[in-house]
Amino acid sequence: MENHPRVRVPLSLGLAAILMVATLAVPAQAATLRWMHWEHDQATQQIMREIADRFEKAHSGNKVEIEFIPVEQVSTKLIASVRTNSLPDVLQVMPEQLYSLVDANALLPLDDVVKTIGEDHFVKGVFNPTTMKGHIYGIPTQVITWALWARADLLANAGLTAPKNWADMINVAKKLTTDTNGDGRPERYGLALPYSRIQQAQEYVIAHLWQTGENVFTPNFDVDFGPGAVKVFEHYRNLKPYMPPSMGTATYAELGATYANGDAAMVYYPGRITSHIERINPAVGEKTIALNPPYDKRPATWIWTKMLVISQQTRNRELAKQFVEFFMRPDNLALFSSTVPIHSIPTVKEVYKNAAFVQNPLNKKYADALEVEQDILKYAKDASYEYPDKPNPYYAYVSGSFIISDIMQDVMINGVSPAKAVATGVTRLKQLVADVKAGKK
Amino acid sequence: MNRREQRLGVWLIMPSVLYVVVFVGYPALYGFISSLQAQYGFGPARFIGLRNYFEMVAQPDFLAAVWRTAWWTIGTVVPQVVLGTLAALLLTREFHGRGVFRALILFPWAIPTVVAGITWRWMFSDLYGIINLFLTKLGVIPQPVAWLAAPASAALAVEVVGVWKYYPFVTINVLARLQMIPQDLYEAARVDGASPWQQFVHVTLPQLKGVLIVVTLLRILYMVPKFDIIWILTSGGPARATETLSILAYTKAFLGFNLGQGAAIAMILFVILAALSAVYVLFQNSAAGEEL
Repeated sequence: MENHPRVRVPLSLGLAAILMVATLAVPAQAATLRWMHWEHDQATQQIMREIADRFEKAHSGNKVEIEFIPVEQVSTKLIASVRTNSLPDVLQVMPEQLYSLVDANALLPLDDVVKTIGEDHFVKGVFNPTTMKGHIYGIPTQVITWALWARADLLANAGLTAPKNWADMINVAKKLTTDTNGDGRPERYGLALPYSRIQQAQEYVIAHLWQTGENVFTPNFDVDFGPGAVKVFEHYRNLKPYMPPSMGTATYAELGATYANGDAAMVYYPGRITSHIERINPAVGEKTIALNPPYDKRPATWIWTKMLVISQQTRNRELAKQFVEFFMRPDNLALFSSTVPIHSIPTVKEVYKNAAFVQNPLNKKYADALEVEQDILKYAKDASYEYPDKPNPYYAYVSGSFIISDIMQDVMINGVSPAKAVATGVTRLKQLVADVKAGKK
Repeated sequence: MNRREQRLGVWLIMPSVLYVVVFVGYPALYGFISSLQAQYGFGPARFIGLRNYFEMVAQPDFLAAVWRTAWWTIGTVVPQVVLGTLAALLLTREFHGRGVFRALILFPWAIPTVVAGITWRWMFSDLYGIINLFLTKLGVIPQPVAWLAAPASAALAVEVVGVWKYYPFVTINVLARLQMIPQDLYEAARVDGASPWQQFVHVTLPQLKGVLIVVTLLRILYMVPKFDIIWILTSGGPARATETLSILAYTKAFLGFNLGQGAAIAMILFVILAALSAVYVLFQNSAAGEEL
């Protein structure tokens, strides 16, 4: 039957008509934006979808497709995407990824987006880590700083005050480590500070290095990591008896849980600790205070800057820029920032007056902590920009090589002396940077 | 076979050939080309010949990872085969509730690796882990141990999970073979006055020889490149104590952004696995020849 012309001709015409109607039904400018992020909190993901829905409603016919990538797989995804020309249109990245992507000419400059939003709406200094080669490539959405979180009740009971320097820190950690039943194993440790093979542990080491007044790199991007590093690992070694043994293998989440469960009296952590406390043990929240991290010679801590960037490969440049502007509107950013309160410090001034932000119960409960987190902004930095206006193109490789983690574990687990471990590590770091420099030529 | 049938044969195997070319051949070729290049992160690739291989082989990290891979493979495959065979011997006997036990024994193999890994990670915890709770209650250890935080105990812990997760594979295969052994052989042995141990050594084991060799080879092939369970439990730590070749390849390529060296390690792993596969195929062919 299918070969019969009386059937074939009308069938072909009918199919052609259906295809034409279907083509006409789709708006000519309809586009789908791919938006990649690593936010794993359910609440945050829901809000992101809500913001995307609002954008779709305001830009009828266009779609926003959200792609979640676990944070530890972001680099893998970015490398694969750049190499296969399949980078999503809008991406959430960190400074170290930003510099590699700009180096590979994979991102659009976004100076015009900042101009549209108005630079004076942003908190001062937030563009430092997103500016490279004279252009702004990332729109910072939030910054996350690390504080020292401590149990005020335990400090008071032991007659202790907040530790101000490293010597204080050892003394307080020691006194807050308690073995009430005398079995040789403390029921509560003084401090949770990871020496496991995770990025955060390396970042804590670098923050401690800055506290000694030294840096990972020289201003010319040669490896520094000198005597200050030895001092850091000596300090770590001195603190080890007052830390749970599981710190050698702790993940970022387990670190937070250790404090929230009451197994450690202090922890270095971002504001996300409040989420762990509220989920696991809200009673601890009433007794928790945020402190400026104790330091050796100068105050220093780590900061994460989350930012939105747009791929150079996108076919929807204008729409992608409109989306970023839309996302940064105070209403949207306030909603987004309120999903993990205290942790995500908004970069747009108006958000701090927005009802969604102000009325958030956790922002109210931890108002003092939020102030400390904001105060820390004055001296917090990222190893990708140890020197102002000089983004470091090599730090991402140092971070990914886990050499700093190897040095730390040599000292803390294998019992190697800090001087020897640092010497071995620095040789490896220098070789790595030389290889990368040679590879880039 | 006439020409038409030959042509049909070619067409019929085409999908499989295409599949192998696209999903095995192309990635392998791309991996090999990458291993001959200096590639850092998003930057351009530059041909450097075999330098990645020479540099890799000279690095202590690599040699240590080769040893760890060997230990991981031996430390998991031998117990898997022993435990899997013992379980199969038990489950082949008649007893009340045998069906339930046969289903239960599959449990470790059936649950997703990520779930198993995360659960074991918590079980090993010194602060909340059930293993420490039992061992301290029984007086085996005086106080909780952070199993995954010390190199020796972490390597052992990872192997324990590797054995637990995959021994059911051996059990299923051995059990299937056990059920095919003719009962006449046992009856004849009993008539000749053979003890149960002699029946096992002279009847059961020779009958299991073929399946045990195949299963051991397959387990080696699966365990050498194993990544997921080790990554979930320790990410190669502490102090690189569980960093096998596959973990090293991943960390070099995707965390250290050294794609060339990562690809070189992957290619070395590929050659090792190809050699093991060749042994497996040779054995299968010779076994098939014997049967004929």
